[in-house]
Amino acid sequence: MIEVRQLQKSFGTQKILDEVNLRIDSGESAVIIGRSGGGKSVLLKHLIGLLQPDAGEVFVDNENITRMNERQLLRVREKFGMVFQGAALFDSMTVAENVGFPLARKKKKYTPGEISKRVAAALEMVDLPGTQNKKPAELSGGMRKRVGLARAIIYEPQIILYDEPTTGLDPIVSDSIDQLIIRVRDQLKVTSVVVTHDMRSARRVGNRVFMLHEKKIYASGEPEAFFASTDAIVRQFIDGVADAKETI
Amino acid sequence: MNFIARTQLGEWLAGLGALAIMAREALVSLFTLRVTWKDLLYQIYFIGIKSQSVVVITGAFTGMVLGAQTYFQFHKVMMDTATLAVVSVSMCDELGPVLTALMVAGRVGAAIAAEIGTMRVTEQIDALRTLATHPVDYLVVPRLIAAHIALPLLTLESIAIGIASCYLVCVHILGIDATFLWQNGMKYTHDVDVVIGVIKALIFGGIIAMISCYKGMTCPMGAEGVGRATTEAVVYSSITILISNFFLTLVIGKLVGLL
Repeated sequence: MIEVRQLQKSFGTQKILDEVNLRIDSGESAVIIGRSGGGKSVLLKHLIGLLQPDAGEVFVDNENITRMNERQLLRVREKFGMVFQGAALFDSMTVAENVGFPLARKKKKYTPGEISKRVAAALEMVDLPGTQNKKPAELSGGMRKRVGLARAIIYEPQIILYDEPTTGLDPIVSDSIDQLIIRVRDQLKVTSVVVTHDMRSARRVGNRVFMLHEKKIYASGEPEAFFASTDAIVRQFIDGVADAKETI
Repeated sequence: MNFIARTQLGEWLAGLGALAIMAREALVSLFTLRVTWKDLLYQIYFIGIKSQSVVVITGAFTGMVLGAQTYFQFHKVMMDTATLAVVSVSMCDELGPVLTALMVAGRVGAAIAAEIGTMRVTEQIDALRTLATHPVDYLVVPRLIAAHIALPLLTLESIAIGIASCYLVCVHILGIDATFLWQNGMKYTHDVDVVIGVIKALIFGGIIAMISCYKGMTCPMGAEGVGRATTEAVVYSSITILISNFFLTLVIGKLVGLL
């Protein structure tokens, strides 16, 4: 369970988040939508302690992570996997080394054979079997995101965070990434938090939608109800029109 | 004006504080042995083996030019055979450690800052953190240990090559008597001179690794940020080496009774 209370964050004089509250229950698949530059990724990074808030609190399984230092956070982060917008693969390593990295760094020792078996299984799950020896530079954008997902799921986290997983990808690859998110959610029974401004993706992968607008959670609800909303701001975003009057 | 001075001073102090915090984290990690042999050996290879050419060339030509210049002056007062003694002591105490450290700061410091800086702007450092790995454990500590091991060895190599080059120039080009040259050289060069050079190299290794890693880890976003971090890593490392060398000379000199 993740709970955010009265979260505030500014960069310099620019306020990004202002008294944001949200709660994501275990097993839930939450989608956070909002305009580009609206603070979605900033909010996501607060959930895993990559950013510290100016005010407010973030609880993970009832544990307040805002008071923790970097070393204490490492323990909490073992519950998380995160897929970055640009995949953030280690470019000096092969795909196998990237995916096996979390296991190789774990305190519990895995033998090279065990790691390689689990790497193969994780790559199989993201439909990239046999790519172990490739370097990230040899992969397409979609493949890089899949490898990023394989790296995030290999140690079986309880929560997976996705930062704009379909941004910059063509509709077909975006669709395959959506299917992958759903498959991972259903097979591994994880809590998913997806940040996106791709409405098709939001509709498919989420069972709860939060809309970030004007630095706050403006609206939230189950996908059916949310996408049927008649609120002008919500409709403008869902329909993707520049002028709010056109949606009425 | 005062505001600018205050802001710059504040930023400088904040930077110094952040560097101290990173050094403390590295120290904690060192004592809890979180570093892996594979990472450490690669960094020793990168800092030590890959710096061979610059260190050998720097040591050789510094020894040669210092030998020639010393001879030109000493020849006027008929002290030709003291040439190697001057060069030998200079190479051990000052030129060996300082020039080696400056060359390594240029080659390795820039590479460390650029690599870590690029990792930061492409979110690879954030990815490390999400994978429950402390960036200081994984990125800073292996480089810090490797620099502490490689710098003294590179310095000893530079000193040896500098003295050997000077000897060859003195004997084969300048025509100084080999026996007297070598005897005087060894008479005035003591074990403590070599120890001073090694101690300085150890400290310079730490300076290069810490400043370069810090500049990479705090690199501003974008290609320009990586460029700036790389330049600053080399400039700050070099300046810190030169300034600290003066104080180290005084402190170590006092400790070993030279002052």
